[in-house]
Amino acid sequence: MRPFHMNRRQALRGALASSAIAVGLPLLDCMLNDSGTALAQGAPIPKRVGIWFWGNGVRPEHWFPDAASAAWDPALKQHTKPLSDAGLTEYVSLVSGTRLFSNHGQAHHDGKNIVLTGTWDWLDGRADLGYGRALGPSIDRIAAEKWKGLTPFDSLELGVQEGYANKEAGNAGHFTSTNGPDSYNRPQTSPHAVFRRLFGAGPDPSAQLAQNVATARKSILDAVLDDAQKLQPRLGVGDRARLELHMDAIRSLERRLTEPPAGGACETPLMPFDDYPAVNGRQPLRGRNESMSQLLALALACDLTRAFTYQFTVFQTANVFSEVDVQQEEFHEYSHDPGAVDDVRKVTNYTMENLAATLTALRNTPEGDGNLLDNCAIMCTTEHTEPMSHSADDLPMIIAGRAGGKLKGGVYYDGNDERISKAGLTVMRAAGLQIDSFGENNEFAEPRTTETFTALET
Amino acid sequence: MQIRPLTGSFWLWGSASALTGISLLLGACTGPSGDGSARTAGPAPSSAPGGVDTEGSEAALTAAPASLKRLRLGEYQSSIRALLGDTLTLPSDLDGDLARGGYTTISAAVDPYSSAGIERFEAAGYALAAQVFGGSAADTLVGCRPTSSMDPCVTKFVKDFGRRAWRRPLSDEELAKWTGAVGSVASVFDGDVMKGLEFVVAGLLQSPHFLYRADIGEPVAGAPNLRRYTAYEMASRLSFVLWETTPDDILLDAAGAGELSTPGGVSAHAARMLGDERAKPAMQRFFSEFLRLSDLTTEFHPKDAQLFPNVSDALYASMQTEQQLGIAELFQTGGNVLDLFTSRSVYMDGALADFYGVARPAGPGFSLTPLPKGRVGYLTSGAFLSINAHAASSSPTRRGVYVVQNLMCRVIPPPPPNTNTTLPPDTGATTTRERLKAHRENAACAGCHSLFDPVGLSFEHFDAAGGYRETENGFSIDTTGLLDGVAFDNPEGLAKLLHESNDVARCLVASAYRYNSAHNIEHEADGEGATIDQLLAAFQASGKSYPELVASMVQHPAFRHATGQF
Repeated sequence: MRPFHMNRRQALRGALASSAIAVGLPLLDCMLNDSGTALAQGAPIPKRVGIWFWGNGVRPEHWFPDAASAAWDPALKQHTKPLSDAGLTEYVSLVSGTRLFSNHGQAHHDGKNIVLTGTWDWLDGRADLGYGRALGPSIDRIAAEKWKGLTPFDSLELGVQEGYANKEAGNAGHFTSTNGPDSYNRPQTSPHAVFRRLFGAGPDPSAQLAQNVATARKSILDAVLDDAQKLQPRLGVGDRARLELHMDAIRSLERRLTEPPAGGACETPLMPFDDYPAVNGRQPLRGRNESMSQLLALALACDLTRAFTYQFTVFQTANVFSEVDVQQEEFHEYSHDPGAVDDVRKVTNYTMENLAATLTALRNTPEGDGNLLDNCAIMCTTEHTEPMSHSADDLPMIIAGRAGGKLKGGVYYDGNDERISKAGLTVMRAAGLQIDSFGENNEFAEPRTTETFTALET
Repeated sequence: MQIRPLTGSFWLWGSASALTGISLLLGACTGPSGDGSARTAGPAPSSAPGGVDTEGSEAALTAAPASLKRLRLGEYQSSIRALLGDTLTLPSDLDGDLARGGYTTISAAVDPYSSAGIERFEAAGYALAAQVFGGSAADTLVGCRPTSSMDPCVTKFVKDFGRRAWRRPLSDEELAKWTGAVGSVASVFDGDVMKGLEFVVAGLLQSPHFLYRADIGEPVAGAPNLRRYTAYEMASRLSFVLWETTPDDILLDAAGAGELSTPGGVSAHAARMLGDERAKPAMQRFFSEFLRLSDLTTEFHPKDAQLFPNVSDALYASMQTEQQLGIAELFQTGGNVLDLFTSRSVYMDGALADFYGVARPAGPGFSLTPLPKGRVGYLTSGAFLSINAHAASSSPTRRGVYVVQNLMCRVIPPPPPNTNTTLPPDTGATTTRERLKAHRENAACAGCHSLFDPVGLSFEHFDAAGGYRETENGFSIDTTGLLDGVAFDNPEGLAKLLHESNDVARCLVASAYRYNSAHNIEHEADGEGATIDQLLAAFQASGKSYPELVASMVQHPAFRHATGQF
């Protein structure tokens, strides 16, 4: 028998190649140095960056602290109390008092694009052009580009609510993860589909056959990639970029096929997650969020990716919240109504319980001498402050995770009219990305943001 | 119906005014502003002698830019069936279509596949190939039993199947590469050539040459900013636009013979294809997207269960079928498509007859059934009225906006920032018309609302779920309205105005052009207005027949060319 030697990469291959997998024992001790602070090869434990997004704002009176203070106690307001109840206070900070810098009141659209990408082109507000669009990538895609090839997936797009914004079934402009103008990445909302994608779950052919199939698939993918590479220069600029994304997906598949499988590390159980499909058009979001949160924790812990979006509900969400005691209609529709503020309160409390569940799944995943949330920087936000007026100045913003010690946690910071796009730069830099500046705003001729919310940083 | 190949040329109709049927861009609702020049058409194309679009005359043409088009899900499925057989089990986990500006074709030309979706195409290729090569179908498909990857029949198969899958012949280099792949895969599996073919079939079906339609075109002499689509690209354009599937052998052979390089050849094949039943679903899909029917589900349009216990996805599905059968009839007859607004009879099943309050038709299924008094055509249909309403109450604003925005192609800006758009609550003490007073009396609102509220208020006999009500809260209902300063008494009066409206006709033409060219409206600003005006003239001349419109469109120079260089 060969002497047992496994590097971290090989351990990860095990996760991808094997079909029956045991529980994620992420970054096993064998991969870490003696003090548990770095990988055995000397590389530090990776940091991850992500977005946790929900649609349609909050009730401000239940969100923002009443008094200025340097420390934030989420328990004082009912929207944020679930974070405190889950013991997450030391991992989360709240920023208020920011400005969006958009004159046009493109309800939903400007807020979403500016907070996620730092960019905005309002396109004269034309409905037929989608009310405007981002000019650049969202932070997950910036990270994916910077970290390209380091992990099997450059980024992951997860979702909980299946669907689109109000009255626009199938609209392509509604997704959180953004590549640039008119290019958005659709999230996967089925836990089973995500599980199969991350860990494979086909029949278990003999090892030799599996190896042969992988070799043959690889040679086919090479031919497909060659087709794409030869096609690309014949296309216009926008289409070249689309085909580049396609090639990235093929390269990611190839990476997962080429490195040899090894036993061990990030082994997961056989499909331990319920799928929680919609029943009679109503979506069991709470259960699905539990499954998806576990999958996110597993994907990050096994270093399958380091950048993600987690779209709990879509912006301007038309969801009917059947698990909350509210009017049984689409949320955005009645959230305009002053008579429905209490329903908005209930739905937002529920949303924040689900955020707490995601963060708890990360916090409960050990990593090194701490946990996964210690090594994450996550921007948790929505597209406007509150749904009745749709104002998006003073956007709700929670920064979660300690980013390997770069973020303090437990901070309340009043942004005093600072730009909301500082939030994106804060999480990206905290995650170790070398980013000089972020975003731009052609409407205000705003320069790119070069500053972060330093009050949140150690 | 019979579609005639057009004998004239669009160049000869060139005098269509740039202002004909121009749609008013509302801007801030105070008159044309902002990019108010958007609908100004470019220079009219010059005439060419004899109507032949010779190279020189094309210099003035502005066409849509070339684009890489994702196959829509239905196109992927129909192509797979055409290539591998009707009885295959198709993968069920592929991404559904997205829409842009309401249209799946535009999304297909703009949006990327998701990375998870691309991975599933790989899996789908293997799942499909395994079905074929796991049984006797492989012999039929391959046509021989090669014993070695050097067998000439391997090359022949890759060549033939590749041409059908990629909708064009493979280049020598591509053929060599994919034939070589048969051998390399076979060598992994102990020389099993059929295994090599199976993997190569899966490979050809995950190549970008299959998953996208790459319209690229070739240079046009004397027109440096124009490209002409190749004969094979035209075969695909015709096939996917008219039949929503991959070109058949007749089209591919015609492309190979050069027939699709001439307007006459395109015209003849378009006439053949439009005369076939297979052209019907494409027309139905366009209208489904144009009228925004596809999101008529209880997920997107839930209704208050107490007030409207009869609303269900089944009833909504019947409402969609009602429209689809009406559209199918217009495909068969080639009649005036704007009759959709004025028809006195519609297709109903039992549930719809109950909904409309008329006697159930005899027998199961749908029959053409007269509407009750007070209802006429699409604008009093359950579909239109339910889509454009709230869960519990009607919405004159939504209904009016729909007419002005979707049917007349006018741009309506969103409410100004920080507007409280909530109406006074319905206390039962008055009518919706009274509650909407603020829209008329508050100057900040009236600028826009005066353009569509007076249209939408005419539908007030119909509640949130499209049911008829004689009175509202005990008050009689005023259905009079105003469209562009012309008064009408009720929805029927409005329908007659729309039926004759040049703006509505032009909007339909522009939308059909947008849908079929997979090209967003913003490009109309760049000069495609002239094309739309020419197509509008043809549409009017045909008695507003949609199949005739499509026939005109696919042989128009703008459909056969791309603007722009790369």
